[in-house]
Amino acid sequence: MVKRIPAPVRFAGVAAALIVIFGACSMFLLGAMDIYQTSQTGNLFNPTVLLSHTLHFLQQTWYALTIATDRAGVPYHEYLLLGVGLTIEFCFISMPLALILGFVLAMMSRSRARWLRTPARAFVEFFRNTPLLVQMLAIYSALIFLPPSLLNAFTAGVATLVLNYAAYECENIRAGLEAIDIGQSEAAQVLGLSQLQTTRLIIVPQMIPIILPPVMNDLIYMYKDSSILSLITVIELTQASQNMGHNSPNLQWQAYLLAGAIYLLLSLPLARLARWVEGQIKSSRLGARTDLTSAALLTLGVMVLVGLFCGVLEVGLTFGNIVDAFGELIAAIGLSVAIMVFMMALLGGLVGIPQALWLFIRRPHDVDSGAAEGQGQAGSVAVMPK
Amino acid sequence: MSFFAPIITAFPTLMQATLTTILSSIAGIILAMVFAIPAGLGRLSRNTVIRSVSSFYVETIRGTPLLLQLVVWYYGARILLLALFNFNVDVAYFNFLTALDANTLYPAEGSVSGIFFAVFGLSFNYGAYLAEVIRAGILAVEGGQTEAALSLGLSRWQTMRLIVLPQALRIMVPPLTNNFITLIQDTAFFEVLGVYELSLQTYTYVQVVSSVAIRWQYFAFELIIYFILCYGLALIARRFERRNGQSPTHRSLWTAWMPFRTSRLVQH
Repeated sequence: MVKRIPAPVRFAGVAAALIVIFGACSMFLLGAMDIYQTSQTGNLFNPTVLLSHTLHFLQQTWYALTIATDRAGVPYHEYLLLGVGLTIEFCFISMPLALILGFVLAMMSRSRARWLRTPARAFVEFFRNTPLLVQMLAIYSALIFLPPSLLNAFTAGVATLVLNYAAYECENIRAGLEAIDIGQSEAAQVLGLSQLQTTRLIIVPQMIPIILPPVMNDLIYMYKDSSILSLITVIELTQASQNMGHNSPNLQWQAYLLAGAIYLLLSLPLARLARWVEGQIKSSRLGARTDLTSAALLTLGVMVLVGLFCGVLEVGLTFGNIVDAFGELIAAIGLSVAIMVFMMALLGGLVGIPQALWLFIRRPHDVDSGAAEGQGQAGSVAVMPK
Repeated sequence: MSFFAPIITAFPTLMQATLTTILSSIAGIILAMVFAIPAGLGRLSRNTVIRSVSSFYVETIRGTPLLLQLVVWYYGARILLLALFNFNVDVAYFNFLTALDANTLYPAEGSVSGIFFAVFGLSFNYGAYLAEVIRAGILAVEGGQTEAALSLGLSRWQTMRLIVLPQALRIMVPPLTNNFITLIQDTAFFEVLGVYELSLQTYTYVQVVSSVAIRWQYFAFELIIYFILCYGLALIARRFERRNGQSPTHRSLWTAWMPFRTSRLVQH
């Protein structure tokens, strides 16, 4: 056995190794970028050259953050701020809508009626198994017969994010609902609560702590996925950094690095926050006395309002802009729900009609008990034996 | 039939683009596993340096969007390599083919640097996500297993190979396949770098027609192909999971991946 190295020495060694690895790598990277941007020639393995280029790069970064402007005199930090604002707007508006539609889809896919269950399942499977990017392009460029007030970059972007994430949230919520003991809803019905009351007072409050971690995770995913909206002319953070790079090519790398840093600075605390909320809600401090259903709905409403407020701040805080933002929100909700209903009808028809025919041919006498079997799987009330 | 004339005309090109999608996603999956296994094991390492380097990789990549990363790889890394080392991926690939006396394999139009950096960036991104899956799978194996194996006199590597990984692999299969499915979907991002895979090929067709009905034909065709690819993988994975869960035999790390029942082959 080798003699154990004393702790302070080991600590110093580890610190030195980390500094050498991270410091040297980042200095080489920044120096190389700076050499490329200033179109000079220099040997990076010369320490003086390396240090001067690294420092110059950092200085340029600070310059880009503070006083650098484009030709029209718009400072670059405004580019980035507007980009962050739009990103937050899209996320905070889309996530609550996706959760609500996902809840509807989950209830539909747990329903005993086949004509509700099949379309919901078909919709969810279709939207989970096709790329978000293609869905967005399809909605934006193949629905052009709609008037521009109903289909523009904002509504198309929100509708895409909502529809895609509704499918994912449906799966989360379904898993959450299935994790709840069936005795809970049976007991509630025995006590005389209606279906709606059972859902509101018994099921949803128990479901929320279960689904909260994956939902928060999905919010972070959506926050990153919203970068694809740059392809339909929404100038969010990624597009803003690209514009910045186009407008002054000698700040291109600074633009990319700043955008990446902003994404990191927002998503890492969000992950920590998710873990904190999870802990809070699991401990009985919050769970026991709060009406979780109302609290959740309130949170979702506040999120939408914050998103709208971000959007209004982008264009200026006037009464007309606020009214416009609400109008656009309503248009986006209408578009999402319309596409969802249409797709459910289409896909449900494509899957459901052959399925019903097949069942009818195979067992003409008990089509209904087939539905009962499926309902037994979904498991809300036990099936009575004949 | 004249209604479907556009899609029939475009069919061979679209199929070729589909092939590009499939090949690049297979390459992406393999390369992503190459990045993920060292990073995932490195996050569990006892060495602080290895642990922090792999944590930095995973956290940074997971915190930034794929689109930004792809743009940086293509418009940044490609130009940086050119400016500093005079290294051009296109020329290097052409020279490589020349050395093999196979210049006809070089694509007639376009360049290979787009698909090179696209696949590389995509796998670099997914490496981080898969590293988290691997780490979570290994951590999910009960600690008592490792302790028992170590107390029986197995070395740490033997414990990992014979005890932990076979159990962890079974836990990892569902999240891994989920990630593979999203990887196939995310090959649609390649269109930003000008790679003519399925989504960009369809979009170039879509852009030149103004009829909504024809546009929908193209999009429906594209979405159906993506659906078949992803849902097919999901179905295969589900079948694999079900069979793996049913089988009472102890499966080793190697036989767990075999696509047929191995209980007759391996006598435990």
